Amino acid sequence: MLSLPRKQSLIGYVLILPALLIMSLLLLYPFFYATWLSFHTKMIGAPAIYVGIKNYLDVLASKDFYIGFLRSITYTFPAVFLKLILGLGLALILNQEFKGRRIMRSLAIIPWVLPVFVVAFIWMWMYDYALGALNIILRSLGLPVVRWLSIDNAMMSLIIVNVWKGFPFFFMGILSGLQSVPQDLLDAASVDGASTIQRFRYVTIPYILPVIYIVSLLSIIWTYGDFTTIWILTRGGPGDASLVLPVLIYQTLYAEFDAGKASALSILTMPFSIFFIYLIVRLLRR
Amino acid sequence: MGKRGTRIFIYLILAVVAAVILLPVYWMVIASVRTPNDLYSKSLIPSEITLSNYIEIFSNKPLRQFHIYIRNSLIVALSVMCICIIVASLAGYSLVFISYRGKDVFSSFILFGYVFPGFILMVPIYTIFLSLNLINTYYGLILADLIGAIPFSTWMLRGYMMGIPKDLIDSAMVDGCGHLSALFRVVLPLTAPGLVTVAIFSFVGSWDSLLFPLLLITTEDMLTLPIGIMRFAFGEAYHWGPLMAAAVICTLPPAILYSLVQKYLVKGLLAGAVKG
Repeated sequence: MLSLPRKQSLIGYVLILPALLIMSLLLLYPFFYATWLSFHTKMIGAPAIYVGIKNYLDVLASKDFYIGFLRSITYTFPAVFLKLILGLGLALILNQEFKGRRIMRSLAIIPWVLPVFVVAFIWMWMYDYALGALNIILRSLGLPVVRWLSIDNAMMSLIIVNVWKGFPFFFMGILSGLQSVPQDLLDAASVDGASTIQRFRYVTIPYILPVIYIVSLLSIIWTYGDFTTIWILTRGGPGDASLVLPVLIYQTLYAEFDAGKASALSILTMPFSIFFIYLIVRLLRR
Repeated sequence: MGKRGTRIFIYLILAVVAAVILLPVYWMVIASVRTPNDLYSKSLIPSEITLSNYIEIFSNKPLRQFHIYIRNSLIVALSVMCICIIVASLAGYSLVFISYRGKDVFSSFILFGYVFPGFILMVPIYTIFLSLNLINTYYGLILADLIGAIPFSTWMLRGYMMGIPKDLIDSAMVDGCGHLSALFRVVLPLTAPGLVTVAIFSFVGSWDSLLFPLLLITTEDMLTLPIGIMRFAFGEAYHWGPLMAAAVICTLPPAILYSLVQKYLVKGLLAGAVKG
């Protein structure tokens, strides 16, 4: 017979085992395997040959990695910043009492409800040069039409799609933060003679700052890892105009069939993710 | 600016926001019911309405087998959903209500898995699944989708369960319940909204997954919707009508599911992401 506490903890281990097993086999093991692969030349279908740090030297010597990183950063930070501004602004407006507030709140989460791939196809159609809605509107206003997915505009157009799809997440998170601000605290500040701006600065902001922080961090990670939007709209092109890291890795795997080199590339994308993952884990585990 | 001026200004902003949100949705829906000639009229408003695009996508031509893509997506997404509910309920209960050594490490591992970007694993997953003959199988697709879905679901349910008073479990135990019956009789009924939310998120996550099917599927009869409906876009010319009709149908399951439980969604999302 096991003593009760030991039996207790045994049940604890048994219940969490399936989740840990799945994650070990599908996340941890592949991750270590990728690390191992990155030190080998491994053509798909052929055995792996140990090559030391050659893959890393190759990747760091070619300009692809730097371009991919630059594109990923150029995609991620403007998109997250715009989502934050739009989400915050809309949350502040819709936290007021007025007619039509409920309808606007439901409306505002529509982009978030649509599947990412559907959003990408819709915007491909919005951006169509001859028949798309945006150029039809520009034309009817007498303005010059735009090649939305040209080499110069592709990145901006992709950011627009990401912002359109992603700002409701910020909106919902920040709105729930705003609703947790105690009304009596705001009233007390008013009594003490604080202006609207001062109440916002010294009462509201400190309350919603943690939400803003965590939502932004999550969004940075997700936007950095966005494959679907870019793959459907531009495949990383034209040229390398939108060749973000996830698309670059996919292309390296498919064009060269070299799992070793593609693994080295994957590992090299990690310091960025790990830094933000570390911030999130530290914040949420507190 | 007076109080009335401010109000008008706010409504003006909201009108612009509403238009920006609705225009792309309108553009999808309206294209799905227009004839090709009408699309070429370059007008925002259709001159006639037709269901021919919907008939076309269900007419089962070679390389355009919409109902097969729907079937495959449903099989994979429903499987992922069921596995997630079971595995995450057990793990969530373990993390919240039982004390044992190593729990903090497990919690951190699950949180780490939740925020880990899946694209970093595309090379090893492809290589491993290739050697295990999981290419072009439902098993391969389901397993690949579980990578993100399991930690996400577990973290989210854990957030929900932390809202349940521990006393309830203790008194159930005093009444002679084991942990399993406490889970089924006390905890799961109280976390019903959490379970529904996890079910929806895991279903939609799988419904939406593109990268892993792109790597793991090479045959026509195993394609899922995100890749499958590209077949409507790239033929001889662009087929916007059929593609948008397919997009509308792909939107329906997530949209219906979300609208059923709208009031739980925000809470659920934040239980998983913000509070924790």
